[in-house]
Amino acid sequence: MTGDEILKLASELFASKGAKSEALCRAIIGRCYYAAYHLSLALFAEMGLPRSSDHKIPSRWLIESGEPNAKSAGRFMEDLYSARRRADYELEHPVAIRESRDLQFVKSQIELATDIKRLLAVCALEPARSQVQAGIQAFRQRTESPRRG
Amino acid sequence: MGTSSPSAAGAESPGAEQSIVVGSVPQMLAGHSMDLIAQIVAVSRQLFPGEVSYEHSPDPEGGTHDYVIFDVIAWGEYADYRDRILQWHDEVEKIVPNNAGAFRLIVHPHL
Repeated sequence: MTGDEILKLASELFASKGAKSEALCRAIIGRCYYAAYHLSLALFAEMGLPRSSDHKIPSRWLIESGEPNAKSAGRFMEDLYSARRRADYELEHPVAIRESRDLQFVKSQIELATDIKRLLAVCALEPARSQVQAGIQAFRQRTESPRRG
Repeated sequence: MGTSSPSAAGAESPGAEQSIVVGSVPQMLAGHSMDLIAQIVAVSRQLFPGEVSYEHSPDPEGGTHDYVIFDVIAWGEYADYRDRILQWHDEVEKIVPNNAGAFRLIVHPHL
C-alpha cells in the first residue's frame, strides 16, 4: 500500500458518477493529505531517515531542508494538513461545511496533493536528493537532543 | 475568526484594512499577535484580493500542533494561483522568520 494508491483513490472518488455527499468530500480531502503524508514518509525511508508519528515532522523536515522543491512540498503539505484537520474534526464549522460542499475546493485539494507528489518525485532524484538529505540532517542536528548512550 | 473584506477584488475601500479577531491566537504569539496578524492579512489581501478571514486552530488531538489559518479566495484554477501560495509563504516567512509554520493558508478557488 502506498501514498500513490491513496491519492488514486481520492481522485477516483472525486471522478465517480453520482452526487457527492459532504461526508464523501470530507473523506476525499482527508485522503489527499494522507496520500501526501505517506509519500513523504516513503521518501524519508528511502533516504534512510527515521519514521515519526508526529504529523508536524515530515512537512517541517521538507521545509527546513532548504531545497526549493522540498520546501514547496512541505509548505503545501502544511496547508493540506490544515484542510484535512478541518474536514475531519470541524463538523459544525461553517467554513468546513462550505468547503466540503464545494467541488471546486475538493478538486483543488486533489491538485495540491498531486503537486506534492510531483515535487517529492523531484526530491528523490539528484541533484535535489543530496540537498534534501543534507538539509534535513543539518536541521536534525540543530534541533534534536543528542541521544544518551 | 477574523475577517477583512475589500469591496471588490483588487479595489480597496477606505477602512478595509480593519480586521476583527474573535477567539484566540496561539500562545506562541502572545504579546505581538495583532501586529503579526495585521501584516499577514495585508499580504493575504495583496496576493489574493477578496475576503480574507483567519482563525486559530487548536490541536484537536491533544498535542501542540496549533496554528492560525488564513482563508482566502482565488479566481481560476489551481494552476492559476499555485505560485501565489508559495509567494504567500515566502512573505509570511519574512514577517515571522522563525515560526512561519504557525500560519497556514487555505485557498478557496472560484471559477
